[in-house]
Amino acid sequence: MLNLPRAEHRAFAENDAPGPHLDVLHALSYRVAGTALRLGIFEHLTDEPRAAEDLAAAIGGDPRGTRVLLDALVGFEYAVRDDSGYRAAPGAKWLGTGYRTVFSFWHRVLFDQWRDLERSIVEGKPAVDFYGWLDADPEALGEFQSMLGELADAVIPGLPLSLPTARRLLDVGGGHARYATAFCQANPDLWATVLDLPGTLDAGRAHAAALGGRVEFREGDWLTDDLGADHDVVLLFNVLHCLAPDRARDLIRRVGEAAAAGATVLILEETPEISPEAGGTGAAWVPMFSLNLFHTQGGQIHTEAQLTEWLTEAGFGDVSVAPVPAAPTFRLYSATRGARRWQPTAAQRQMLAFHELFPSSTWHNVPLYARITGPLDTHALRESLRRCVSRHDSLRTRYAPDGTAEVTEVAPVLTEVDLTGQGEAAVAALRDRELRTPFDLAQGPPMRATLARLSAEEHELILVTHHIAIDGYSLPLLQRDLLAGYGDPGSETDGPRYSEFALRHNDSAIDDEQLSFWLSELANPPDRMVLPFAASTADPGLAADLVAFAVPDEVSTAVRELARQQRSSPFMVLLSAFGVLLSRYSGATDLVIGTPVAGRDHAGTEDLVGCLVNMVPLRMRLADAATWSDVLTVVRSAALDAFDHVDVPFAHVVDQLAPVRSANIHPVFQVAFAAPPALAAPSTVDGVRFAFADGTSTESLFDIEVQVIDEGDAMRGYLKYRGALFSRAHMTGLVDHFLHLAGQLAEAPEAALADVSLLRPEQWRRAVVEWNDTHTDYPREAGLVALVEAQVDATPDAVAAVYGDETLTYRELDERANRLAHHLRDKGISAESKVGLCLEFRADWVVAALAVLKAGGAYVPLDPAYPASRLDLMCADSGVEVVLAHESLRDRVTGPVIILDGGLTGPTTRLDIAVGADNLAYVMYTSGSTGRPKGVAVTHRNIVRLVRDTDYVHFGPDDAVAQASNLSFDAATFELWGPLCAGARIVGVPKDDLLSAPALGKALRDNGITIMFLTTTLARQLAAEAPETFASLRLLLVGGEQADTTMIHRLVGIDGPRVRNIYGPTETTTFALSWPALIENAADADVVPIGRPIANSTAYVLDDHLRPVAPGLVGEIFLGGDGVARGYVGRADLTAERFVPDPFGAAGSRLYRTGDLGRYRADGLIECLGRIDRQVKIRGFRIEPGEVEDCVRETGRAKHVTVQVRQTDDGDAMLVGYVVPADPAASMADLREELRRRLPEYLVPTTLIAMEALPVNANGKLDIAALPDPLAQATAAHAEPTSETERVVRAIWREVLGNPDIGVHDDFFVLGGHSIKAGQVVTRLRAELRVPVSLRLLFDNPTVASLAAALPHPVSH
Amino acid sequence: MDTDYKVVVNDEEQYSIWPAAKENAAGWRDEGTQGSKEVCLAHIQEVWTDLRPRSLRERMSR
Repeated sequence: MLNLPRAEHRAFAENDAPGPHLDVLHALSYRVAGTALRLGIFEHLTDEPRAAEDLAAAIGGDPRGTRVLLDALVGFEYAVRDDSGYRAAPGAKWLGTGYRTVFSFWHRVLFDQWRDLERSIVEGKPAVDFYGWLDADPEALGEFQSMLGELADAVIPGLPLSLPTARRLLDVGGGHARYATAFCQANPDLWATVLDLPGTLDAGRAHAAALGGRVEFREGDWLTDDLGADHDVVLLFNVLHCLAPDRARDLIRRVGEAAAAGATVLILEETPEISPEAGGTGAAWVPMFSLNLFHTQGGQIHTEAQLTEWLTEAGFGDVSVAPVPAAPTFRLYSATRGARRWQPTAAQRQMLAFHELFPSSTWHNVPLYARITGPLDTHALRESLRRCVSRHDSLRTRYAPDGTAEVTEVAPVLTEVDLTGQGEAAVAALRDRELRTPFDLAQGPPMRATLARLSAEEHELILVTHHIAIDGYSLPLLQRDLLAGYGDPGSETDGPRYSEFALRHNDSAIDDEQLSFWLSELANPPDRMVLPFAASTADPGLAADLVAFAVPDEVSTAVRELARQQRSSPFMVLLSAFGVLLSRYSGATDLVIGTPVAGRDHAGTEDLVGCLVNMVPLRMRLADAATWSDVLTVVRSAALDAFDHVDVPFAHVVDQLAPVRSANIHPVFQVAFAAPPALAAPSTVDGVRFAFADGTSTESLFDIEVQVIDEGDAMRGYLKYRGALFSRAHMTGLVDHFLHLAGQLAEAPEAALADVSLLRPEQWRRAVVEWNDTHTDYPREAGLVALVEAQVDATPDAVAAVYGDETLTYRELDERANRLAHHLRDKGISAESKVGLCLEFRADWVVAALAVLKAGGAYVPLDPAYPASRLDLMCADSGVEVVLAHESLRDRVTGPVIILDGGLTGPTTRLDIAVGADNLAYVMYTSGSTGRPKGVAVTHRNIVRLVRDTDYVHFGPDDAVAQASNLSFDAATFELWGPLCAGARIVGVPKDDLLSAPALGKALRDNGITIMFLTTTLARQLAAEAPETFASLRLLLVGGEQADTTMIHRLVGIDGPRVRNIYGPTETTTFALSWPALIENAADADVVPIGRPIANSTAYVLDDHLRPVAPGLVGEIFLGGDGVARGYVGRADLTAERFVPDPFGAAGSRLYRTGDLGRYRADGLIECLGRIDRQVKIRGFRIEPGEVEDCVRETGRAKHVTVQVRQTDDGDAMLVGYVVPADPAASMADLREELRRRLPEYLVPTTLIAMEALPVNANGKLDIAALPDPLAQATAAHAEPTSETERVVRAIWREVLGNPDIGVHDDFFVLGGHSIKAGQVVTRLRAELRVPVSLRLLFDNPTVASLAAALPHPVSH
Repeated sequence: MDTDYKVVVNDEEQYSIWPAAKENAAGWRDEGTQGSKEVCLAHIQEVWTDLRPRSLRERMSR
């Protein structure tokens, strides 16, 4: 009956295991044993030896064949043979175990397939379609199933059945379903899928019937079919040995893909490392399975090392191998999928990087609140939350410090808090506390749940989740699942996994086309958007505040309608309005605004709670947009293009762009605009009402973030801003403007942007009308002469002017002026003629000025300190016909001169000349930006409006007004005509007195001076040194430069005069705005305002399109009213450029555009922010040096400071700070350090130069040209004195300046000298050299060498 | 062509420039020149030779 092929025979006969053909031996042994069994030999083969013949007889077989068979059994050690015959081998227990069924099954397989088997053995390759055969033979299948069932029954008790968090199990090739069933029975939330070959599943179905639907059967070929996805547990029991190594490896790889992150794979497999002898019953299995599979699939028993390697390749880790007590030759392998492996997504990595920089930040905390009304079942809520977390693995993922993510079983705990009776404030406080509590992402979970009990019927649920685990689009899902889980404890806990999404997401290659789109879209990015009121701070921190808003219904309706018409979205319409708003605010027309994109286009992501959102930067180029419609087109196109390229994570784009990074500035864009989905409406479950509410964290890295939520019937939103950068008032205003613009856009999309005002009509009216309501009844049509003559007539004996020893009464003044006026008439002076005044600082100046006017002409002050060439230019430019001069100065001017020394003769009668209010009174030269002086033509009305019936000052007959200004400085207008038009007294205060506090104080007191104007620079110096100098004044006006709060505080603090900060260019006649500095309003002003327009004047802060800007925004200061001068003499073009039509004033009136930056405070007071042309850009940042100066002052380390921009040789600009330190010994390095703490790096001056004092020019203003150039500091060695005089001068300078390093060619003012120091030098020179020295001499000769040469020869030695 | 600005003039025959696209302020009318700022200003420098307002000029010539 046995017909052994040669190969078998040889193997058997030689009893020699040929290594590679071990399975052949197994097959033979099996066949031998099977045959023996079938023939009943084993029944007769007992412990008692029997002869082969006896056995042959007993089984009714062929004695020869029986003998061969018996010898074969001996060969495989199933039997032993000795002299008395054959008997069963003592160790052959397999024959007597409970696995008889298994055995019989296999022997049937073997023998029924005999022929094929033989062939396959001979040919050494698989030939038997085992499964096909099994399929066709229900009986065999039944046996097969029951065989596996037997094994399962033995093995199951030893398996790790409890898997509390697993929800989905996949059993590969486990058609009998015993294992799957056992796992499901042990885990009530577990659903299993049994995947096996067609026709193999019926028994399993029966077996799993008790579990209802929890075991699903899928027919399929697990060698090739998709295994599905997101399984938490995968079983590979008795499967791998069926497969050749490459197929086993492939199966494990596909199991890896089908397993969720964190999933477990369990493999039950024989081990080749235990010999059958050592394994007891297990010995039976090795040949059984290997034989089968060797012939069908080329399978084999895989080694432990091999399996471990394949598992690792497939993404499994933590491979462990455990024995199976019931089957000693089996091993249970278990491994965890991706437990340490999956990489967070790019967006998550970005958050982790941020988290590392700001570990305690709560920026990414995303809240979801639910007010729960009704009889809440806390247990059900807790369970529901548990199910949510179970379903969404992002909510239980932690992020290891090595940058990997791991799904854990650490679920958030629902913390209960009792706030019964504590009211809403307690809820708000709890919300706030939760929002402000950071997450430990390394520990997880990234979600916290708090349930506050407010009463038996009312609770507040506070869920705070880190953005790494959630996004705006997840919130409605979380809401849905929470409610579903509360109502139905059997609700779905299965679903897509974020960890899987992340793996796929990371695997997908970056789309080069998309990336290049972004690189080109963001090429040449605009400068960082700077809003005009943004504070500068080294570290703006993350703390953020909110302004919540509701979009008015009429606006939201119009927005929706416009979106429909323009085939865009409400988001795009609103973003258009927001873009225009930012453009107006920042002055930029190229904007980049970030917006989130859901990132849920791919199947399976719509139900995913997790962070899928991607931020995209929208580039809005608005320069060419003329209408709203244009803007909408730009925005729509930018948004659509962006949405087509959202697959590249923003983080990659940033990496590629590699912008200049700063940890506390968001890269690429600093402003975000979003329209996240709305939460679902309140709903009631089991009699409990859940009303959800959204919110946002209390921090932000975005400077500004706007969210607009469309709730269908209403739109609402909030604006979040970094508190260190912006004030609530500004942001409230910004929101108001946004809504206003959105409404205008939606209403009239074709409107020209130039006509669209940020201001609402009432705000516009306030800025234009109310804040300029300055009209008073003043003698608008009167000439100055008439007004002064009226005072002469009223109080002829009152003192009109005091200059040193000279005193003039009004009558004397009138008479002398009349006399001179007659002279001028004789010289041909009449209306509009110009008369130069080149005079010493004496009472003659008053006489001369009045006389020119009396003659009908206009005076032109000629400062004798100016170079003669410049004076000539001024005379020629203005058409001076004659110059009134003192003898000492006559050489300063050319042309006709009337010398005033020695007096004049002639009539003292008044002239009968009608001088109109719009006739010229004087021409005053100011330095133009180009260096060429401009003559400002000022009329009588301009001046009368300055001094009569005005509000910033009241001149009375008892007042004495200091006349301290240089005559060519327009403050002299105020000092001269103010008192003269009021019968008050002019008191000349010489410059030398101004430079010394004691001298000035004495002059003020001795002369009973009540009103004084002082330049800001001088006032600041005096305020710092001796504010009490001004104690005797009634009114102190300070102006000319930006005042600072310290100075104002000091001046106001002495409880002396009222102090006004005052502002005005020559072009609007001396003063235009003023601000009363009072203790109470000085305190709260960061920037000292210039206030409001004075009487009969107007002031506006306008944008480029001459529209009033909103409070807080920077514009240019424009001035109108009766102070607006006629223009620039001889410069019609310049006049037309600077004097422009006044759209707000009387028909045909003009505004002067000052070139000064300004802004309105909310209360309408105007702040001056410096020159437009002083504003510079350094490294792309817009810089206002005044801002840096303010900061230097705030340190308290500087008495005086000015910050200037210097051009470097390579065309770059740099900031240079000139500082007079409060403590002369202080180091600039310390100040620099302090500034670094307070200012962004780009605002910290490159160089800080310590100065003894800041240089001032003849008008008392900062003399910028005299500031040392740090770039020219590398000067030659200090030149040594060559004469005795030089040595003396240098010695004095050294002492006064406190600086030993003085060369004879060094500039006094560059070395830190200033007027006061100059006064000291002059005094010392007089004393030591006994020569007359004037200040002027030093000013004209500012080096040791030149001064020494210019000194008069000593009177004596 | 650069037409950002236009030359405007008021009843006092004072000249100025104004954004071409913007409606004139009350009391101002187009003078007829339009172009770049430089072009407008150069034109004004040529035609506006007496900066006195018209009413003053007339009064003084009486």
